[in-house]
Formats: sequence, structure tokens, C-alpha cells
Amino acid sequence: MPVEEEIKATLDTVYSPLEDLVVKEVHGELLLIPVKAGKIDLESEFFKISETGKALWDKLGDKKTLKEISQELSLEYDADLELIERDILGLIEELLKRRILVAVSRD
Amino acid sequence: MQSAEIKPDSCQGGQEFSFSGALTIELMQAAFSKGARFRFQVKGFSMAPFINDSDIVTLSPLCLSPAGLGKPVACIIPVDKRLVVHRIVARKKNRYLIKGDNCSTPDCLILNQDILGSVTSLQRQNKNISFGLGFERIAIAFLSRNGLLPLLYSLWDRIPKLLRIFIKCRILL
Repeated sequence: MPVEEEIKATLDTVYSPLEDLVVKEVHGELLLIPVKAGKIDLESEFFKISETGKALWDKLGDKKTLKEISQELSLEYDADLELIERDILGLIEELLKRRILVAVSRD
Repeated sequence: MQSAEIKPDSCQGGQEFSFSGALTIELMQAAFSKGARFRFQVKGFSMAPFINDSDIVTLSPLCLSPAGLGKPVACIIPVDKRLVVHRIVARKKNRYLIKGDNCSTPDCLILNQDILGSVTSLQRQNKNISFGLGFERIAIAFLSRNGLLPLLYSLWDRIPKLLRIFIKCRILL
């Protein structure tokens, strides 16, 4: 039986979306469709993230650590920083598992 | 910010999310701009019996599979901006005449820029179907353009079932 690899995101890391990804905004939500084996497959799995998740997604391209993004979102949404960090780590780990994001260096 | 709000939803195609024609066009164009193929489920019977309702087609960008006579293509009908997967039944200079195999009249003449991609593979109930995509497509285009396909269908229905299976096997092998 295959053992699922445990993927952990950390607040000090910078993450970036993969290039082989089609991102489309639909009614405020984001549709993420990976290009796999040179093909976009609407009959296979794709992902949508909510409007709030989109706020995080928009900041991922800025090469900021999750800690910095959490602080910005905490201010923007006037929400508890710890709660935001927990939510963000959950989402990032999910996206890492699905190979939609990768950890990158800041340079 | 609630935890539930930020988590991604994983969707299986067509089950939790409905793709409109306009969105499908956008996604198709995005795929082709990356040089990727595009796989999706078609709806309707306008291309029956070669492409049926709920068949899954894979489209390739024109740079990988150029438009040509007899090829089923995904295109935008200029009048109403509708997305269709129909066959090229004639070519006039830089324009193509598009028609559904099961339609009595052609759609219209369209330009190369209205063609998004061409059908390069077809799956029906998890089986690959190749008939209608090979060189026989040119004969199908001729028959379709001249309104002879319905006649052939009615003749086909009169052939005993066992003989039909035999003929199908001979054609497909």
C-alpha cells in the first residue's frame, strides 16, 4: 500500500505557483487547472479556491514568506494573526500536495 | 477568516462545477497558448454518430494539428459566439465551411482565426474511438456536405446487426 508523503509548509518559506497552471477567476473564485502531461483535462481533477483564498493567491507572486503574507492579510481583514497563519498553512500544504505550488528561494 | 473559507475545493469535472461555453472557450485558449491539449466532455447529438453526446474529446492546438478537410474542430460561430465541435466539410480559400454530421445544413463559413483546435482523439465509455478521425474523414466530409450521410444511416439500419458488427470490425482493424 503506497504511503502518502507528509508535506509540511512553513511560515518562513516563499512559495510560488507552478508555471504549468491555468488560473481563471470565475464569480470571485479562482479555478486552478494544472497542465499534466501536456494536457488540460476538465474531466480530471481541478481546484477552486474561495474569494478569501484568492487574496492569499494574489500575494504568492510577490515572493513573500507566508509570515509576511499572513501579517498583511491580518491587517487587511482585521483578523487574528494566528488564525490566518493556521488557515494559510492548511491551504498551502493542500496545494503543495496537489503539486500546484513549489517552494522557491527569494532571489 | 474561517478555516473553511480558505481551503481549496477539489472538483471532479462536471460534477460540482459547470463550465459555461464562454468559460470553456477561455480555458481552451489558455491551454492552447501554453501549447497544451484540452480534454473535455461534449454535449449534444449534432455530430452523431461519429461524436456522441457525453463523448470525451481531446483537442490539439492548430500548431500541432492544423485544420484540414474532414477534421472535426472546435470553433466559435461568429454570429452568436457559440462554441461548437463540428466538421470542416469544405475549404474555400482561407475560409472553412463547418457542419455537424447530424445536421441538415452547414453552420457557416468561418475564418482560420475562429477555429480553436482540432479533435485528435475521442473516448466513448472509456474506450478510444478512432473512426471518423483518420483519412476516412475526407469521405465523411464529402458525404456530409452533399447531404448523403442520412441516406447512409438509413441503409446502415437495414443491414442485419451481425453484419454491421462484422463491417465495423473490418473498418476499425
